[in-house]
Amino acid sequence: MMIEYLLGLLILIFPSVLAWGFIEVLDCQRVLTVLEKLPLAYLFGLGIVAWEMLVLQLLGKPFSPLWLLTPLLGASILFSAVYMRRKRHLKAKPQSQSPWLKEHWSKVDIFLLTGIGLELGFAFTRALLLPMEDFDAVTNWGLKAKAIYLANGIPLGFLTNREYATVHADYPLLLPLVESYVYFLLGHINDFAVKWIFPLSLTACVTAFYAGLRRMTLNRTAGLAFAFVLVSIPHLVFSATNAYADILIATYFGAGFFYLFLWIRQRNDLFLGLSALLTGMAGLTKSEGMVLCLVNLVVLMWAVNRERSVDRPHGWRQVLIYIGVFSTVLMPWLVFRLSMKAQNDYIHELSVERVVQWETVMRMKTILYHYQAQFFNLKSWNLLWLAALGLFLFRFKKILQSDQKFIFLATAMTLSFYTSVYFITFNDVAWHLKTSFSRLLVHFVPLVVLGFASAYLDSAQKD
Amino acid sequence: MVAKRLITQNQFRWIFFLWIGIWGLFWVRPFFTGKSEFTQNLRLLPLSFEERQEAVYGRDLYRFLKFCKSQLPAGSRYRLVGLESLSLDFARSVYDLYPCLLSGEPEYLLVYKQPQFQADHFARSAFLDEDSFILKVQSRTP
Repeated sequence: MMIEYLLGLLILIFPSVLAWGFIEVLDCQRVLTVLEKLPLAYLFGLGIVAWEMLVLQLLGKPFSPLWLLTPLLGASILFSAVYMRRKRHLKAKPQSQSPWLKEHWSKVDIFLLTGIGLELGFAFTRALLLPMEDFDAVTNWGLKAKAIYLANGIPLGFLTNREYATVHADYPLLLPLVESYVYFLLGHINDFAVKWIFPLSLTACVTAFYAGLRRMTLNRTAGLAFAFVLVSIPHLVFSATNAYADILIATYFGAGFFYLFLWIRQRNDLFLGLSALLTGMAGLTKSEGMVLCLVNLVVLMWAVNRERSVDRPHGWRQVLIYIGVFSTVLMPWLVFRLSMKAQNDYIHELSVERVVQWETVMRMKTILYHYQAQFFNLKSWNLLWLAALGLFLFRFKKILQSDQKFIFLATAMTLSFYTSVYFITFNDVAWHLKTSFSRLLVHFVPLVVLGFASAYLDSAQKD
Repeated sequence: MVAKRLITQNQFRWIFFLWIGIWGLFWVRPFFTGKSEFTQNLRLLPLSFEERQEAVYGRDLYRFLKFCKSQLPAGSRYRLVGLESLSLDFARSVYDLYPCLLSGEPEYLLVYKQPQFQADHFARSAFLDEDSFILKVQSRTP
C-alpha cells in the first residue's frame, strides 16, 4: 500500500523535474528563489502533462506510457542542454537565495510554522486516507479520469453520453488528464494514489504566496503570519482534500495574480510571463478559468494604461505577449472543445427573455441570504469575509489610491461574475447556491489574503 | 499633513490574535465533543484500500457494488433501482461500476434493497441476498 502511495507521488513529481528545467531556462537573470521555483515547478508540471495529453489527442496518438514519457524526457534533455549552455556564460550566482535556514527563528515564527504544518498535515491525512467519494469527484473529475485511462484517450462518446450529464463535456480536462496520467504510469486505477494532487496544490499555493510576500519586502514573521491566515481557512483546506478542481484553480489563479501584482510593482517581465502561464493553466482547469483569464487580462490592461508614458511606450506590446502566452496554453483545449462541439449549459440556455424578467430580480433576496450565510460562517471561513468587508469599508480611499486597487478590481470582477451566474441559472437558485457558492469563493481566497498583506505592508511602511 | 490611517499595525495584530483564537477554538473543540474528523480519519490508517472504501461507502453499498462488478460483463448497460438518482450513493455507484454504463435501455437492472421489485421482460440472474439482486433483460418476442 505504501508503495502505491510512493509511486503516485513520484509519478506526480516527475513532470515537476522537467518544469524545473523550464523555469531555469525562463529565469535567465536568476531572479527566482528555491522557495518560488518549487511550487512553480509543481504547478507547471501538472499543466505540462495536461497540455501534452491534449496535443497527443489532437494528433490522434494513444495515451500510453511510451507516448506520454517520450516528449517529457525529450523536453527535459532540451531544457537541461539550454540551461547548461547558458550556465557557462553566467557569473557567480547573485544573492537571490537568502540563507533563510541560518536566520534566527523567533518563537512566533516557530508557532506560525507549526500552525501551517498542522493544517497541511490535516489536508494530506484527509486526502490520502479517504477514497474518491465526494459528489463532483465521482460524477465528474474522477469518472472522466477513469474513462480516459480505460479508453487510452479522451472518449468523446462517453463525454457526450446524455446519461452522464454530470460529466459536463465542456469542462476543461486538466485534472482528469493528470489523474489518468498517474493511472497510465501506475498501470492501473488507484484513486488513493492520485489524491496527492490536492494537498500538494495547497502546499504550492501557500509556498508561492509566502515567497511572493517576501518579494514584496514583507519580513519573515509577517509573511508567515499571512501564509498562516491563508492555510488556516477551514474551507480552503477542506477543498484540498475532496478531489475537486477548486483548489487547483484557486492556486493557478492566485499564483497567476501574485506574479501579475509583482510585475505591476516591480516591472520584471519574468513575472509577467509566469503570470500568463499560470493564468492559462487556470483556464485549462475549470470553465470559470476562462473568466479568470479575462480578469487578469483586464487588470494588466488597466495597469499598462495607467502608466503609459514616453518612458514606457511598450505597454500594449506586453499585453499582446500576455494574451499570446496564455492563448498558447489554452489552444489545444480550445481546439479540442471546438471539435467536440460541446456547449456550455448556461450559455446555451441563455436568452434575453430569461434574463429580463421580474423573477430574475427577485433572486437577489435568495442570493443575499446565502451570501451572508457564508460571510458569517466562522467555522468555514474564520474572519476572512468580515475582515475583508471591514478593510474595504475603512480603507476604501486608500485602496483606490494604491496598488491594492488591482486586488480589489480582480476580486470584485470575479465575485460579480459568479453572482451573475446565479441570476441566470436555470437550476433552482437556492439549490445552486447551496451546492456551489462556497466552492466558488475558494477561487479568490488567495487574492483576499493578498489584499490583507498588501494593506498591512502599506501601514507598516507608514509606521 | 500626515494622512490619517484608519487601520494601524496594532489593529492588524489584534485582528490576527482574534483569528488565531477562532482557529484554535475550531481545532480544539471537536476533540472534546468527540466529533473530530481528524481522529475519525486516522482510524482508517491501518485499513487496506478496499476496507477504507467499505468504511466510507457503507458496508451494504460496498458489498452490493462488489457483487455487481463480479457479475456484470465489462461495458454492459445497466440501470440502478433503489438508489435515488443524483444521491451521493447513486453517484458513487456509477463511478465504481464504470466501465459498465448507465443506460436508458439497460441490459441489467441492479436492484438495491428493493425485495419486491419486478420488471417486465427482466428475470433474476444473480442474488446478493433477499433484498438486492440483478435482473437481466429477456429476449423480447416481436
